[in-house]
Amino acid sequence: MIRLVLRKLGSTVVVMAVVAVVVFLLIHLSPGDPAAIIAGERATTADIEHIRTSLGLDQPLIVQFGLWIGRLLQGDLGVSLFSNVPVATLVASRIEPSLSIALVTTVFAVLTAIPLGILAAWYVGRWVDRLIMAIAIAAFSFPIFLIGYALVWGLALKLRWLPVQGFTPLENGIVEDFRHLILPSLSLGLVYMALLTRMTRSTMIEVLGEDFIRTARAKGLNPSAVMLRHALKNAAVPIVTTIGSGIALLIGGVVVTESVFAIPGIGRLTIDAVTQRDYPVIQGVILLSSLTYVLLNLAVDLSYQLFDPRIRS
Amino acid sequence: MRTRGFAGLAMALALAAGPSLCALPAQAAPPAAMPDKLPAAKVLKAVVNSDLKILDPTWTTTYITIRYGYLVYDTLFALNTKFEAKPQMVESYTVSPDAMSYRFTLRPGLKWSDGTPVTAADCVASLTRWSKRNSMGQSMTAAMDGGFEAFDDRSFGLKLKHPFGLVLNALAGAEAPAFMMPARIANLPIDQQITDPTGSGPFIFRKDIWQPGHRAVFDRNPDYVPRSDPADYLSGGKMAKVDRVEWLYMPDNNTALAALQAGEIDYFESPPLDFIGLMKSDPDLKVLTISELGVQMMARPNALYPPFDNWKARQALLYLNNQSDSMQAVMGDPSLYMAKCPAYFMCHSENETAAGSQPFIKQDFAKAKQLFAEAGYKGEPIVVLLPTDRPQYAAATTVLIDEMRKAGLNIDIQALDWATISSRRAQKTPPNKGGWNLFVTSAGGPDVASPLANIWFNSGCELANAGWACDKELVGMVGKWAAEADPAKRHAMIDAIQTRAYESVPYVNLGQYVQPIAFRANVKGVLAAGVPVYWNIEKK
Repeated sequence: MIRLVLRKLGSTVVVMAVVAVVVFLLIHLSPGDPAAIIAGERATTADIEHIRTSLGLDQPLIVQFGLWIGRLLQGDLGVSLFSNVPVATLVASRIEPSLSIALVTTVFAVLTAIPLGILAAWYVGRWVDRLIMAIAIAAFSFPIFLIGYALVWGLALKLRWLPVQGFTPLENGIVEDFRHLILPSLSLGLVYMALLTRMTRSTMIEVLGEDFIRTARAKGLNPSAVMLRHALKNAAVPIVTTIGSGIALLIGGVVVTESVFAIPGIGRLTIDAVTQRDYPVIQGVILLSSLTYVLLNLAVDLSYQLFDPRIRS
Repeated sequence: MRTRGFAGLAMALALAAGPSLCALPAQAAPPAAMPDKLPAAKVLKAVVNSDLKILDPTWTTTYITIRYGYLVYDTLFALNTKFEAKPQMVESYTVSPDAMSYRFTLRPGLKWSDGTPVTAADCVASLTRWSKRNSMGQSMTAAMDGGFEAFDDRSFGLKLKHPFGLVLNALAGAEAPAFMMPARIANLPIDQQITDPTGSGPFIFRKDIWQPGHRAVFDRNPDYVPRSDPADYLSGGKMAKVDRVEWLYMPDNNTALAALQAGEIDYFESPPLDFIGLMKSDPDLKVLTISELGVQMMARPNALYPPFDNWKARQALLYLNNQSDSMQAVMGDPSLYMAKCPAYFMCHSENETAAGSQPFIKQDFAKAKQLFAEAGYKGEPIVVLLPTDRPQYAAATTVLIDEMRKAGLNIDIQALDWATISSRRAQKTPPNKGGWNLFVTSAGGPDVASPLANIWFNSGCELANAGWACDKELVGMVGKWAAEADPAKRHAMIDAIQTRAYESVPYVNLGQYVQPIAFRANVKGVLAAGVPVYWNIEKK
């Protein structure tokens, strides 16, 4: 187990090194000049040149890369070219909203998708199955921003049950915090829920056709014990994999959701940095996102051992 | 401020660190900082049109930083409704009979937000910093005999070696005024960005709870000494009537509009134009045009390369231009734009004139074709930069492209995001090697209304902005205009300047429009000050 973790962590270092090089080159070789954006619409060419020199953007690419890697190896992600705020501080200030949305979305999706998937598998081919699949296909087909606008119109503007936008930190009260999370998590979670429902259904249908399930039923076990203790446990590995890979979907979806609901999370930080060519922020966020994703996959890999004794051995 | 070492990285990764990390570390808290949370009735929540990221109004020309400047800093002079420069921080001033020497005396009792008094030495340092970057300031210092000079704690002045009639106008500005700051800050090297928000304006910036990309908070400055005369445009008494102004940046206009309708925000700087009618019909909302001058949209040709290195090709663009079509595409609602404005220096401004425009009033494709032919155009691709993330610019560019194609031009459309266009347009390389021939941009009315402040009008060749318009005679005419101290004589010179501009065509005026603001009906005292300002506003 420890050897496995060490081996995986070793490969993580290699992956992160590759990501660092690719991200740096990709961003710096793309067109766009942060100095021109900082200088503003009415700046002269000379003003832009002054700013470019002040920020060190006139130096050769290899020098800029060397400086960045040097700082990175000391754990310093750099400083925003625009606000002069350290990237680590910017990222830290944006983590709570994104993490809250991801958490509530995941809980919502898992708590709805797995029962729906099991139900659809149990009643496969019947109207319950068809209804659940229709809901899943619809939820998967609508763009996140459209779902977001529809929810805002209905639940916030017409019924006035929930706030239109924004985020309230947990320190200001869990009720307000949760009220602000419902709409973004719903709009983001529906897609995730649909994906997970379909995966749970198909995996459960496959497992329910296995001999050991027939044996369990023949032994006279009640249906819920067959479903939850025998079938679901054996279907868990692909479901957990989907939950894990769904986090990648969340990372993409959170960018849209945070923009639609004006939530100051990592997604908006990334978009703003990309549109303004704030190199240190883009590099820092992508590196940290990659690291999170790699570590998440490691956690999923390790979780397999909880569900499948064959993997453990 | 800078987080160094693994501690910084660890902090970023501390996923469970929670709410304490949502605010930036304390930087420059005001002397008696208000609580982080205030009752909603005392807070004006405003959605601004872009994100405040840079705190130095001499480092950038972005409008959001200038708006920040108006909250945090004060100015020596400010414009009134008649565009006259009126004393603001200045109590009194004298001008020598030959208009070559100015002496200013500050109002008593002015204080910086750190509690120290405002002195003449601070103003001298601030003016020196401002004049290094600001185009009006540069013109003024070029005419000065030496630098600005402090005479005592409250008095300072300047002497001219050449006549310069716009001293007070330059100090007042509108979109780029001379903001006063403490000498310890203003004396920093010009290539070093200011990060200390200490000012003497009606509000204090709460850097300790600033969230770049989301929220900027300004608390009422208890030490601010407003003028006793009523607020008039950007001049007069700047009374902070709410305890806090909170700027929110919402990238999605639809969300901001919904938040305004739901009462979650009070004020919306740039509501989407498609919904102006809807907002006007909502009894809970008010729509107001704060600037009669509004905005001028313009097409900028690159004077370095054919065909626009030839005056005739640039004049041909004037024959293609139909402002009404462009503005219809950009704005939609005819009440928000002028069907025709021939003035380079904005209609409704003191420098409005139609001189020189008569030949180009009517769209004439045949004449345009003839001029392009005379300019030597033989069907070479014309690189037009089309911004994909600026809908108004994209609409105007698309109309112009259509008009150019009708004149038989071979257009090479380069669809790019604005960030890429901003850097590409600074390139002097040939259009087929990463350069360009034409792009569309816009500028605020107060900026454009003066031949000296209008950077797109500057035809100083290498010294001109991207496009490098080159007309030494026009530069000379503007120089003489700026040197004239008599406003009546200056006004008379405008006709000749504009007539010359219609010959050399530094840019094409695509039209003039206004961008209204929207706010909740319980918000009172919003000033039509040309730019969004937050003093005089209260919630009832």
